[in-house]
Amino acid sequence: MSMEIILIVVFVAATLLGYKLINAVPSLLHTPLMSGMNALSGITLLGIIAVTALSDSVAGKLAGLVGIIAATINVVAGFGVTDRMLRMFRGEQQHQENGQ
Amino acid sequence: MSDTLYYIFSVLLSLGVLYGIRLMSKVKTAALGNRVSALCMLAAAAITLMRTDLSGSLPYIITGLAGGSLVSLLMTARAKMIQMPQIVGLLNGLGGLASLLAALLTVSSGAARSAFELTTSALALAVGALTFSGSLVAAGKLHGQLPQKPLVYLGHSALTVFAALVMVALIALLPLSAHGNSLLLSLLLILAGLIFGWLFAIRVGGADMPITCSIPLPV
Repeated sequence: MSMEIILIVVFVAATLLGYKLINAVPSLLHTPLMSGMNALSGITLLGIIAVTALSDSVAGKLAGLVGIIAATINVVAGFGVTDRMLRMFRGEQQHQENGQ
Repeated sequence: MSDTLYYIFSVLLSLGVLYGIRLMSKVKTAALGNRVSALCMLAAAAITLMRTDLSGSLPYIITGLAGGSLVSLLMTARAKMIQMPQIVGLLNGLGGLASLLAALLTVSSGAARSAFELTTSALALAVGALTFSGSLVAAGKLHGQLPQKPLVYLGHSALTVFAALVMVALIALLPLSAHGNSLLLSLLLILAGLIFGWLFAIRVGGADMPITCSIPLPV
């Protein structure tokens, strides 16, 4: 099997799996989930690291630098703000449990 | 690191992320799930750094990672809950920017040679560009820096369709063109994508924005 076929199969499988996983999530969690999935899409960080290492012009390396900063913020701040949202959820839940 | 080991790690980390998403489907385990995914992502970045020959670009890569992390820590600490929608919109846009730059470097460095690689790069350029401008408009509207009410230009629909057609034409053209023209075509594709994203998002009202934010997830 050629690499192209494998990549397309992985892409389709991931699409279907994502649909199945997300369908099981209650609407209460949709906002943090959207934020978390957005952080995951920062996986492009791996790609931009690889192509920055490949590029031999200064312009290319500078473009890579901008891309790495953007992708890192997407990943790190993405997971960070999701964590803050979810911690608030937990606080709310404990609050309710204490109140009962 | 051998190729076999690399593929084993790739599969394990993918499964880790899937497990993290699964944990996110329950309120009790959601925070843990997010951390499991984040940890897998960190490991993936570490493995990529170990496996790639960084040589001449090392200062740029280190600066980018350190700078991005620093900004992230400040953003995470200072973010107010009420600002979350525009922050997620902004982060989504940055992901689009990273995708489009990764694709641009792939094309311009000549790393993409086959029709398959050039087509996927072209798609990443288009989706990255429209994600970047669309998400920034969305974040700007949510933050109140752009008008909250839908903005409709003269011939808005025709312009939007035209920008989309230009994108499709350039995506089809890029794999067929000689390498000498590919940088110019890529830049035109980015421009068309930026215009499309702007036109798409500017006519959406502030209250409907969270939906727009979730549509153009970058590739």
